Amino acid sequence: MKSVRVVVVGAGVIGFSTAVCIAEALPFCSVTLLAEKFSPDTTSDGAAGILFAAEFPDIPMERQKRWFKYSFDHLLAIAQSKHSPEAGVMLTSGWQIFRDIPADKKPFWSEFVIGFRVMTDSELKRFPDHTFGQAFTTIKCECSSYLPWLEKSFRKAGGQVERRKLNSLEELINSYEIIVNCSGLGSKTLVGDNKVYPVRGQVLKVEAPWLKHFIRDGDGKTYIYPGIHSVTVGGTRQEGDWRLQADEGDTKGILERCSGLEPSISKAKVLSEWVGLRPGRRNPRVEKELVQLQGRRVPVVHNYGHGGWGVTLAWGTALDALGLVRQCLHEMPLQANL
Amino acid sequence: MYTHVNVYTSPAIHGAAEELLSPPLRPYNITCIWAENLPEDMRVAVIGAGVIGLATAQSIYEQYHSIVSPLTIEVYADCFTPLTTSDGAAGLWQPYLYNKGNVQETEWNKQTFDYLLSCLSSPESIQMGIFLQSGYNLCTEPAPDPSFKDIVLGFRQLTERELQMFPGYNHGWFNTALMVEGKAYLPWLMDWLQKRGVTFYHRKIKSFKELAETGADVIINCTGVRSGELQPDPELKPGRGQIVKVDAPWLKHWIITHSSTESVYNSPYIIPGSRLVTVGGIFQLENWSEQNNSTDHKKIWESACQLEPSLKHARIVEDWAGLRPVRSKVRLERETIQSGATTIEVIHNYGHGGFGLTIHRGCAQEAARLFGQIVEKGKGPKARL
Repeated sequence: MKSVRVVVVGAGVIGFSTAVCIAEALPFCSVTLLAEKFSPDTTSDGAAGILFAAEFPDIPMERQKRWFKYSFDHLLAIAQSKHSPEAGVMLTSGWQIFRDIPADKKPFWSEFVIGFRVMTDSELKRFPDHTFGQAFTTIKCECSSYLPWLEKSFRKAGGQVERRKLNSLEELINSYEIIVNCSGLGSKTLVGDNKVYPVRGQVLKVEAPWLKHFIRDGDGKTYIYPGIHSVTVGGTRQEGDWRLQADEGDTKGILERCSGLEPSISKAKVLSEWVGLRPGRRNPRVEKELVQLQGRRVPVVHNYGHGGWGVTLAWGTALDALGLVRQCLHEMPLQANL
Repeated sequence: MYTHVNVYTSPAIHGAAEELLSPPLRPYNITCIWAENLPEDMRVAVIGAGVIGLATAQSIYEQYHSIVSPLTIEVYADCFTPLTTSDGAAGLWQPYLYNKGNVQETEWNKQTFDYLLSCLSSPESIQMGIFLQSGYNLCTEPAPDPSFKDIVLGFRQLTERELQMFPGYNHGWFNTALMVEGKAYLPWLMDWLQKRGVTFYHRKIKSFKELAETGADVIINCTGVRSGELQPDPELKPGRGQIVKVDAPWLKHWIITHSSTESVYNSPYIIPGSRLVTVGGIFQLENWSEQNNSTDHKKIWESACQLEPSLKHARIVEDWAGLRPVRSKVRLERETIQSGATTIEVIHNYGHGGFGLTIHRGCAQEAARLFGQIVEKGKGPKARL
């Protein structure tokens, strides 16, 4: 039986997670990952990678919970193993603080992280402008290490990797039976989705090895995430902004706001600045469709539009995408199996 | 409502004191204490430059430099940072689990924690080597909550899920505590003292008499594990520890294990610092060896890797062995020693076991209070009537 050829487009955390899921679960498929940009040049590489979710308006809560839980449990197992440093996956504890008491004091993901609780008054004393906070332990997944580690797993499972710029899905139909689209912001042009838009994020990496806790303002605009070799401080959320260069005003703002939460940041050496464009969308698109390409109906599984939650949802959505690929296989006409 | 203030004043400075006390310092309820008997010149000799010696010098200076004038403070030690016992310690603020009724020590621990917490907001916190770190205390069987549960931040029981992360342990706690790294804190203290005129002498003191004869009015004995050389103390014993320092920057939590069969510190612990991670778990009573032992290294390393598998990839940087000054309880008291015709005023402040950094400030403040008793008695050899 000729093996079914699957191509995964995109080498960010969504693309590689999806590719690994498919290659490991479907050994009778030949899986190729195809992308223009690889680590360290993907959007995922600059992300701090803290596991932490937002609520999407139109996805059933059960599905969102599954996405978060599966991603968290998968990464927790890696963090607890000897592979932790190589994979760039580690445990991190800290606080999310709010100036005003939020409507939802216990978000849906609170049951899936570790040790979630409300901060005590003495803990809040350090943040005089904030009236409420949550303390918990979660995962940090650094894609500059995690992506190469995923690639290793992918190749071990028989996957092939191809570096290529794709202008249209039509370029793929003669070489592959199933297309998995993990092209993030690129989906705007690749599949013509005008509901995808960039959400510009700027971060700084500073040297502050004495910082051991994350601190995040509930408004999402100010955060401090200690990592393996540096501390990521940020950020910005500029919708529709395509600029990839660092902005001096943003740098100043980030340092001011972060020093306000953690004074020692003002003494930290700034190592680098980085800008990424989050693939913003009202909801992530995780679904399959049959696309008319050069007279053929080609099964395409979409897995893109995760906004600032790509690392958080990668494994969970990858498993969903795998399920959709299985469905495509069942629905394929018999001649593909000769 | 008035705030009550005692002002110690002597004839020499009373005029200046009057000016200071006029409005706008009212409405403070001010009591002028004519302290004609206060010594105007005192020499304090601190023996020992570990965290206890330096912190005690600091407390005495803070509380008395404006009352006793001039106040000369000298620190004598046979070793200074980075070679003291305090330098080798990982620097985690954490007392033993239970205080066995010694509420005094628990109070000193609390004072130290609160003091260090207040230092966190100072711009010098990084130079002082002070920062917050959270972590896990793991027990092999259910145990009562520890003495420090209300002192640390965010203390709670471990969840089922957390216990699953540590096979072999079925009970424990999570909390946020403070780190105070000796290698940064001691130099910062020395600098602080030096700026205020405290002088340091690299010299081994053989007896209290030796210092008294050079004119020291009060001797503060902070000689740690070697206190027995100055005055025999059968209760003071070395508690030898050995640690391995590794490069494992992905670890952000301390992990301290407790075994019902082993003594404290003889069970593995992993404590990330600002640069390196301290891995340990050795406590050998009455072992005076300061040499690294390969059997101990193996024991530490194997049990730590079991606790934290990712350590297998950590680069080992160095081993270190030190002697904790172990005693049934801290010796913090005055002693007036008769030596022929002279009386020597000694304040003992030693025997802090493995919790010197944890308790240092509370003890230093208490030692300063004892010093104050000597000052107020006015019976220092140089008191002027």
